[in-house]
Amino acid sequence: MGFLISMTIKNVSGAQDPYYRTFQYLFDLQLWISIFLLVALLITSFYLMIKYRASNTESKHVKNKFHSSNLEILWTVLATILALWLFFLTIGPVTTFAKANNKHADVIVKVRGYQFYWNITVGDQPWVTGVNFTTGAYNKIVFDHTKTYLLEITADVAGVIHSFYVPKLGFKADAVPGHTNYVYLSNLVPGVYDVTCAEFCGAGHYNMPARITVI
Amino acid sequence: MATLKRPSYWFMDYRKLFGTIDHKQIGMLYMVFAAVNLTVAGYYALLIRTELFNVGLDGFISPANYGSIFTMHGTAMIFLVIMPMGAGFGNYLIPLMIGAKDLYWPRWNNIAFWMLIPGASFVWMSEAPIGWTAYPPLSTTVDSTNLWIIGLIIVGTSSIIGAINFFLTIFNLRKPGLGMMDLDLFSWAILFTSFIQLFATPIITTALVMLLFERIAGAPFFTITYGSSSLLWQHIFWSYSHPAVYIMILPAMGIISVIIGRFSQNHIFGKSSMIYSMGAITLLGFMVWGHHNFTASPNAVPNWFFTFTTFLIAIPSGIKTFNWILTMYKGSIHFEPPLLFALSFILGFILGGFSGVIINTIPLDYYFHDTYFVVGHFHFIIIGGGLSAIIGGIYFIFPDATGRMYNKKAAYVHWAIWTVAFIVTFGGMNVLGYLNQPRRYVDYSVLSNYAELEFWHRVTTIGAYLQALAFLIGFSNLFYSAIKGPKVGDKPYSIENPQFWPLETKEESSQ
Repeated sequence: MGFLISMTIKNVSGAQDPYYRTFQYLFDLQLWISIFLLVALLITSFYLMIKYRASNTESKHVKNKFHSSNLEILWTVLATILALWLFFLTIGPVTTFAKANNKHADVIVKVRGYQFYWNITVGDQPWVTGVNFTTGAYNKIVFDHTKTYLLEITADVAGVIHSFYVPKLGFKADAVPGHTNYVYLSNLVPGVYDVTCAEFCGAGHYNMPARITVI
Repeated sequence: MATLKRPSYWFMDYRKLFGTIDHKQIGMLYMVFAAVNLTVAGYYALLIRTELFNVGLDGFISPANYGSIFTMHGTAMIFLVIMPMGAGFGNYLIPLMIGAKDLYWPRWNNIAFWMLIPGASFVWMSEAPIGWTAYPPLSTTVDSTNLWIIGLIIVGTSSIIGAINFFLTIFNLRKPGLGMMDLDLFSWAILFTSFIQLFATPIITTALVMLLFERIAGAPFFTITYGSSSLLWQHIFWSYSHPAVYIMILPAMGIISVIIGRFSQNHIFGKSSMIYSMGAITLLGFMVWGHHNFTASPNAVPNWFFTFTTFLIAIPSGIKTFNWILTMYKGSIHFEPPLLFALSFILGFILGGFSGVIINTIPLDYYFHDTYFVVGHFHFIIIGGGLSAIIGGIYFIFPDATGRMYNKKAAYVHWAIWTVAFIVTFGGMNVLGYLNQPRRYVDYSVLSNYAELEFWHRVTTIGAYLQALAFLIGFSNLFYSAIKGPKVGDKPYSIENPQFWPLETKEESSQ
């Protein structure tokens, strides 16, 4: 129980971190819970399968009436506690993410999805992204790690839905025509970050790359 | 029930084929229909996997055709394979399970099946490159979507007729003395499935008609330039399509509940909690659709609501898994092919269930949404789980349906390759998702970690070909055995009750 509480507090207090850190923390946690439960279920199953295999049981017609309400109540309660705890862990990060446009940001970044490229304006610096396959060159979008950024993500009003996906910053937000989603970025770590489109938008869906360089 | 004579080659007579009102024959027609569509949709999956084997556009599939191929793969697998398989098992088994002569409406039953043929033809002919989710504004602009919409409306109507038929049958035609709580879990599963079909399918029909009106008559339901929002479609669509995944998985749960009980020679552990769990899944299934839209509009309150309800659905799913496993306790387990496939269902359901909990955690969904992680998740559940259960069910009723026995050794080989293959394929997809490979990409060379991705795409492709090999073995075995297999009596398995339906003796009615 102390373990659960300490994990919970650690997560809530870390809510100001970049989203990728929250992702890593929650993913590792759930992965280990999953592996633990999987191993427990597999051991139980194989034990039962080996112990009660037909060649090992005397009667071929068992029809046992075994039932245990206590056992059922026990695992229902445990499963409920686990589910509620996992839900509780998401409250902080979800609030932080959703309240992006209430925050003051140093730089406003306008992201607009087109078929099939991104039109990105950082402050007053406009970029049209896309890869030139003959030269392999990208238009670099440069962020400063000391500043905070508010991304206003939408799509061409006459176009289709895209999704602005920056995996190593741990977020994606759909670019929906006529609807703006906000993402607040702070405490950026210097590096190069892939941007891709994550919502099927037509034949060129696979080819909407951009790179964000944080310096 | 045992008086039903062994089927002959009834389907060779076209009047019998098109006019049959026998529930077993219609059930078999559903299964054959689904198997044919499975072959084509599976072939499409192999095309996709072959294209992705190497990084780069190698000209095997053009980006324009790729959209058509994955759309048809998804649409057909859902609406023309897994759902008709559930209807097929319901047709074949429900009257036998409840002691009725036939379904309540035999003629409507015939019509419901034959409606699938034009519906399926329209869907296959459309080849619309919109994704099976058909999000507007893309789906309002792409050609050939009209045919896709009309095809799905016909298929949906067939599904509603089938659902009403099962409702009437289970409520009205049970043999005297068989109360609702005495019903077996398969009948309960079909009852809950029918409930979802009856109440959810009209939603998708409405949405499809709206989309059709927008396309052909300019009715502005989903287009922003007319002041509406395309997010409306996402909500209407998923408020059908999330319940629809339970249309796909509940019959499979019913099938394996019976199989595990029979081949463990045991009663299902906690039968009433199994029924309540299925009821909880059915009702909660209508309240979770927003978890498909976490990234569409990340508002805190609706996202909390939908993540909460989705975590709740993990509880009955977990209870059912524990119950299936404990059913083997103090049993006498016969590892015949149907049971092995049922155990594969449990494994697929567990693996897909864990990844389901992971993607329901919203900060993780912001990373995993629309990546291969999601693809791996639902393939584990629907294919590793649902299709395994269906194959197990087919092996179980094959001796009754054809009067002949399949080759058991080949069935074991089928099972072994199939189980390894689906774990490799869909596990590989989960890894690809963790390496942030987005869905529906014809090529991944624009991602900077493409070398790593190529390795895992190759693993996934090899797994997919192994699945195809398993299917080839299974199909050949069943097809050959249906014609040349050894004749078998009423005892195809050495267990107390070797048939899917309960024994006819009075005291066994609770099984």
